[in-house]
Amino acid sequence: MNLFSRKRNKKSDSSVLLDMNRKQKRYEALVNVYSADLYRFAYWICHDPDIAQDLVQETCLRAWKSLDSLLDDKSAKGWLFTILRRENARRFERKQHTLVDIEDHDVADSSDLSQDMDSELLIRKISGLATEYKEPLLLQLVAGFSAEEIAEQLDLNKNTVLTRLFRAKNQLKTSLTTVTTKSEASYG
Amino acid sequence: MDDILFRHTATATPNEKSEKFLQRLADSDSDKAFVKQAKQFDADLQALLKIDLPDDLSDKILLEQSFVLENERRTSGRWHIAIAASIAFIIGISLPLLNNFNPSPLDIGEVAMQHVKAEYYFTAQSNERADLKMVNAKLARYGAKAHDELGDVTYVNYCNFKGTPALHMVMQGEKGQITVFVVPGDANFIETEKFNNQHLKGITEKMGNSNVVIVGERDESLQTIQQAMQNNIQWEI
Repeated sequence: MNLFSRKRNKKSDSSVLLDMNRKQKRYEALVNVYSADLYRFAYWICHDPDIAQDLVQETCLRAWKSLDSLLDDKSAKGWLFTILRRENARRFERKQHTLVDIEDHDVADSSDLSQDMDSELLIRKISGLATEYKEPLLLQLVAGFSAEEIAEQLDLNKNTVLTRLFRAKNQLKTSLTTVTTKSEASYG
Repeated sequence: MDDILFRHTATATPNEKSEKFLQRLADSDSDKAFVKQAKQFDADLQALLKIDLPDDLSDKILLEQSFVLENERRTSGRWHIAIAASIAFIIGISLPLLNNFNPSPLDIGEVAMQHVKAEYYFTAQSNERADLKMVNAKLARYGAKAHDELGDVTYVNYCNFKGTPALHMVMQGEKGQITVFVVPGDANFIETEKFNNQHLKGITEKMGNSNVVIVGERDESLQTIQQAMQNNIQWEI
């Protein structure tokens, strides 16, 4: 993450005018580095590519507006994901969403992701995970946070996070093995 | 580290680097295999979760931000324009006002003739037959007191002499009306001694602290009145 530290050092001899430019550069770097992770996280949270993109857009705009409050670039990722999760919560406040049963809807992209039964079922299973399991899982596998970072992000203690990660993966694995045995049986 | 904790840890965080965890890996091939499986499962999940991104996602985000920036810039620009407009407006409003307080001086003769023309018929129809007392009551404001008749005064009143309160007095002359204005000396006029136009002529003379403007027909002699104003009035200095 010395991506930004170089700029930071230059800041001392920069004029106020260049400061704006620097902020812009810093922002662009953040967007380039993190927008993909943010989008994928958002997608798996809301299961809608358009909403996911809106969420990322809003997250980034909010980040831009308060970029000056981000002092340590190392915490940028956690900061961005906090904003994203807050934006998502706000989305629910704004509009009382009718809860959709994931089983009733085709999960987008599932067909072109893989024709494979395992993958399809896994995707359904991931989508169907309870939020308390899904969030830590996504934060780990999509955003690449450590258990400590997830604990901080979700305001949980680390053991709780570990337990949830374990249970989430176990649920997915169980379904996978059932399917695997099933499909093996059908081939056999 | 017991089996349950080991399996929990391996599943939840297969990349765990704690000493106790790594020790179990070193000690047991089956544990190593278990962790390897867990890592593979994580990798599979990761691959599955790595859905395609919308085209040009980061470009779109930066574009949106540039729109917002542009908007902010423009609204803040408009803000400046609004301020500028307000200032211009206030200047526009106050310039005429300032002009009123500080006018470029007008010719006292021109003003007097205009005034006479504008009120010619009005004053021609009135005959107050003002006596000395009435004239003096008005003249007092200008620090003047008539001690003898000035002439045949048909009208005496205050008037608005282009913003200056002046005494407007009409007397009967030989040819027509003769109008006398007593204009305070501190009013800002160009004091033309003699003036005339197509129909009227006039003179201005400083008496006391005031300018006495006498306007009459072109063929009227203003001298009689002028002398009466000078001689029959006591002007305070």
